[in-house]
Amino acid sequence: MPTKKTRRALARRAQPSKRAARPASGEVVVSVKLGAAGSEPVLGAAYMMMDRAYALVEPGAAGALRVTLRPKGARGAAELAALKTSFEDELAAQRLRWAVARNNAPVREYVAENAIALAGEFAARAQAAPEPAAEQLTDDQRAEIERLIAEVETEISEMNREKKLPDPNGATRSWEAAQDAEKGRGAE
Amino acid sequence: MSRLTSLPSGTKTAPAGLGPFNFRDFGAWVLLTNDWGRWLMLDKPDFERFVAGKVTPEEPLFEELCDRGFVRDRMDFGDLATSYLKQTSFRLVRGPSLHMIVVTLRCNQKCQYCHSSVVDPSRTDTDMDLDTAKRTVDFIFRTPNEAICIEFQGGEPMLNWPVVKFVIEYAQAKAKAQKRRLLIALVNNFTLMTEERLDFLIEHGVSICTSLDGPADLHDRNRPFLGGGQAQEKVVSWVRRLMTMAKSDDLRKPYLPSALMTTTKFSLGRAREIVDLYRELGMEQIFLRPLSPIGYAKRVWSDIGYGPEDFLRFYAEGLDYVLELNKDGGDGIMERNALILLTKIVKGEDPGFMDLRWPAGAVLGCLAYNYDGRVFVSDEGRMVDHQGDPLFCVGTVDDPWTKVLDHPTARACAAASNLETQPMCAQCAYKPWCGAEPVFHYEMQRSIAGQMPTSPWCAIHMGIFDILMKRLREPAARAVFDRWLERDQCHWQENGPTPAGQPVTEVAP
Repeated sequence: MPTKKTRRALARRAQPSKRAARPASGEVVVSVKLGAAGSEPVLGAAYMMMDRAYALVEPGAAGALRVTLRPKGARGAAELAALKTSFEDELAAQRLRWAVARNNAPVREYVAENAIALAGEFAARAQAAPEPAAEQLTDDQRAEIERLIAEVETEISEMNREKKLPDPNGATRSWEAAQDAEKGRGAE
Repeated sequence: MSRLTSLPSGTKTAPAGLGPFNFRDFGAWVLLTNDWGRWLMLDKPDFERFVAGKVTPEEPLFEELCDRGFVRDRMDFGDLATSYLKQTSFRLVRGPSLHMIVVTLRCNQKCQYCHSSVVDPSRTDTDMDLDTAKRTVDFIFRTPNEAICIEFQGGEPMLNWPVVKFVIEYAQAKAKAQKRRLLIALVNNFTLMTEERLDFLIEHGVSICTSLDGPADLHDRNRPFLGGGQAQEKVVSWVRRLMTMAKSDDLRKPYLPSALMTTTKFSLGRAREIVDLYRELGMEQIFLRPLSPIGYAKRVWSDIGYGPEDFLRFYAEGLDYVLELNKDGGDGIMERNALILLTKIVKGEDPGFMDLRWPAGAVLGCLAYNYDGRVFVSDEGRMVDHQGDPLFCVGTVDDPWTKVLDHPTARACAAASNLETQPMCAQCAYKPWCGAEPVFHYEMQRSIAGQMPTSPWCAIHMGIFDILMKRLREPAARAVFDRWLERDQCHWQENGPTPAGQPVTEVAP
């Protein structure tokens, strides 16, 4: 349940904006009647503008949303006019996209259900792997793993004792050290 | 026009008879796609007639639209469900299959862009110990996925060679005992390779992958040795060695080395030279990859980074050159980005590529294991931790399997990368084949969901899709693409025919 504070905030948001009806300098204001399409296409179009403009969507006059766009780049008259056209094109595309999505929601769900049903046999076969792998090992396999562990432990302790890094190509040596080593070999 | 592309206001539409589709406007033509991976390129006038509901049943175009599921009343549900299942099979596989183990953070290179958060070779305290390695393998084998791919990442794994060897042998013993398919891949810089190590890797069927950024001056600038020296020369000499071995011995052909190249600012404008090097070495593929602003690379982005448009120019130049080299037929070099996406687009199959799927590969497809036994949603998530933010840690190898898979971060990553809930992605024509990356967007935009209209990730991937779609309309390029797909290089795990416990033959992306 929303708290009293949240309910008050939601009620405030549903009221038409008291902002000036005229846009501030460098902004475009578009009023969009919602109609049957609802608010999604308007919100969608505003979202698509985010790479070019800051968008504010507010309740407008009855049954309308007010969209204020402030360009992220230049704010001359030509840029503002282009921004408005661009928003209207986005809105046209959003109306089509949302209408198609709403009309076809049951179709998409039905095909997805069919796909899951088709996968049923596959899913049934994909049984979870047995957890304790060690229990499945034969005595020989277990002995082999023990041997491997012992071998690697020896190798690591030898490396630590000798403080030697596995560096057959001398890649970890500095340039100077490599040069000194080279000179040493030359002198021999 | 937005990145998604729009419609001129006033366009006549009649949505009632239209099946579900998304569209992308290319100017003279429009791409239509749907959830089930079916697609069609329509000339603009045909698209306008389609959205206006004016394509009549007498026209061949109508039949074509019906076949692909774009007409609401003429759908073959069984056919579409099969297609949907084929291309999203990964969503029905239980548990991650790709397991990246960081056996050490130490590295003997100081790469300009290293997002792997490496430390100096003297820091042996960042080596995975034997006990942790054993517990890590035990944890990995708890995945209910029948197929397992273990990939050694770094640091430079060869600096902790004894543990690498142990993991390989122990994992193979477990795979044999449990009758499971296992692939092991070693990503290394070749500088610490020896004959003995190579014999071991070949004998155990380990795929070998390295990094090769291009000609010596470029590679050595991107990936210098600590203390100086020529890194590229060593990589190239080992690649040559392995290619010669593979060519002279059929048994070793599956173990052709593969290489990853990372594009920095210094690579721009040099795509042809880079492709030429790969070709000269006899590599089957080149993977023209963008740089990710994650970890250390984020801090030095102003020195080595670039904008999405710069990468796309580089990519187009490289791809076009690769296509040109293939125009006369034969088994020419292939570009891996293209191959992965074409497997999805043209074949309608899942190539098993973790970076481009939804929900994201994070946890559902892959896990990364730090040297200290902590488990992360991905290797990138581990790198973010190294910068001091443990957000993407989902547990340790001592935790119950379920606890890791059910971790709130794992759930959040899955939810945030669901393209159906992304305002822009849900309407994108590339939705059937694309994906989202929570870690990338967290690093770039401080949101695991991201904001796609301003996302460089989206710009780069959408741009690559655009380039491929344009090339698909060119008959010569299409012929090359079809030949590549016949060679079928993009299956490495779920669909592999390899017997239990035996190495499979292809390297993870």
